[in-house]
Amino acid sequence: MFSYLARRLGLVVIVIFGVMTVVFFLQRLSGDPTNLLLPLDTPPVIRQQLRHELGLDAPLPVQYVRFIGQALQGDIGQSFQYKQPALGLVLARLPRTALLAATALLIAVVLAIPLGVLAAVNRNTWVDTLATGLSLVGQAMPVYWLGLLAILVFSVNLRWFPSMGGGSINALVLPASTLAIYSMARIARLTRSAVLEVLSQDYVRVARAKGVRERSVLYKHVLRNAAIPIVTMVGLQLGGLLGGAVLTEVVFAWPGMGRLAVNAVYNRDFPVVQAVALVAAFLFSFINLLVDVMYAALNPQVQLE
Amino acid sequence: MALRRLRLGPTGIIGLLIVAMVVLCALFAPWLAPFDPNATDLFNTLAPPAWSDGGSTAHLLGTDKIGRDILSRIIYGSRISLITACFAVLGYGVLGTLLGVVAGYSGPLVQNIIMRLVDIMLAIPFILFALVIISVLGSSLVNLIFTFVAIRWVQFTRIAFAQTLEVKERDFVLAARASGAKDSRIVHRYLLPNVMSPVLVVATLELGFVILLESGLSFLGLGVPPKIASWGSMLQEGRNLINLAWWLTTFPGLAIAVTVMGFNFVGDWLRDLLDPRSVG
Repeated sequence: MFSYLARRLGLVVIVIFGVMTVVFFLQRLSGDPTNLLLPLDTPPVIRQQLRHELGLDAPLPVQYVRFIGQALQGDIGQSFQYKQPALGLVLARLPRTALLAATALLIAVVLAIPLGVLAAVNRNTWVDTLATGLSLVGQAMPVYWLGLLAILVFSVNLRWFPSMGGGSINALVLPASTLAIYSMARIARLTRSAVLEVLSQDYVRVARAKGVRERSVLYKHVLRNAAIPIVTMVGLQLGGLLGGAVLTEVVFAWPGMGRLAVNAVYNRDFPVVQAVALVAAFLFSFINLLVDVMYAALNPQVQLE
Repeated sequence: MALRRLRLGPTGIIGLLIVAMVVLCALFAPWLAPFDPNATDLFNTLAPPAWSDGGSTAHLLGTDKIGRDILSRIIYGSRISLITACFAVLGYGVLGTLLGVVAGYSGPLVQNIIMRLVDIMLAIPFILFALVIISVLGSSLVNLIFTFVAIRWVQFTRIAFAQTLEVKERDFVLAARASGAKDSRIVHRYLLPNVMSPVLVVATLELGFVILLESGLSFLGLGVPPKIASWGSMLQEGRNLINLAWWLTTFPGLAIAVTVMGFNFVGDWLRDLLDPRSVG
């Protein structure tokens, strides 16, 4: 177990390191930041001085080592727009995004798993058709369009929920629900096929033949065994939710790090975009690690080597 | 009888019909669209759809704030979606598949380099990665396609890698190698053809993905320039008028959802057809 964890952690370190490298070289491709920081008619001497202060006149390998060194200390550069450390700006908005994504995941799981189980147990009935149809439609809907429709129906016409802002629980309802739809569709579909798979196993037939009640068969045999792929899928959804949150946050003017990133792109505030990407990669990698460990804990067949 | 051999269920048929319809719209847009998509009609701004109060049959789906016909813009918008999706998926499909086959067939060093790079690329959620690249390159149709190619190739690499690992141990490959076939011949003649069926399935699903995300980036104003009719940019324009004109946001989004669903259905059908072992 320990050596597995160490190896897996090593892989996360490689990935984070790689992401920082990719982002560094993209940043260098973005051209001379002094063009954005200084007015066009700045004398070359002053421009050169700023380039020196920012360390842009050093050879590329030196800049790279310096960038990694600073990043390890939590310094990803200053936002051009806000004149503050980029990482701090992102971390300040992270809780809002986490709240949105976690609520969406909760909604998705609570609805998707019963839906998938119901569809599988009632295979080829109207329940199955309805559940499968819903998840097929849910997978194709653009998340931001769902958001716009939700605003149209629930804010503009019915006036039940506010269309923007991140202050109250009320303001969380629409963005979290729309963000949840795609994950819900994916999880429901997987739950259905996982449960169907288990239902066809011999041990289920044996349990039924022994006279175990259908309810116990479902809870004790089927759901426990079907849980393994479902847990993995739920974990994988978090990456998608972090991505989907970008569009959802823009639609609902939710003050999270996704909206910060989009506004930073509009203003060519590269350090902030970079910081959001790094934070997301960091989060995503550790969540995946956690999912792998949980997967192993749930499934005694998996030997951690 | 033929239908059974093709394993075409209701969703497969619907999917093929949708895809055919979108392709026809893109090919024959000038003949199908009732108006020029950029023609403004300032006496007829924000006209509602034909069946609403105040709507007219001239503009079936209504007009936008400068009187452009929504139906015509949606028909023309299919071009942007399909062009982006086809070029992008073709580009990163070829790139990713080749890298996957190479990784699967090479020694541990090359294999490790390629597959670790895949891990790295997968660690950043797509849309954030796209924001990083677009903030460097700026937004245009070509840059948008490049962005997809630069990020999304890993989808093909993963599947081609797994498939190559499996195929290269099969008897016919071992026999070819034993009879002295060169590596390049083995890759071309034996590995690539056997990798193609899962690649084709992934390619179809990726077409839907690109259409979904291209419209998302255009909605943010970071994809196709707004003066070109595209579904995403129409939604962006409609967003500000959402409490005045519901049709501006409803119909382009519907076009995206239906198109993506069509490609997903076709992808699912191809998976059933080409790989009967897998359960959808």
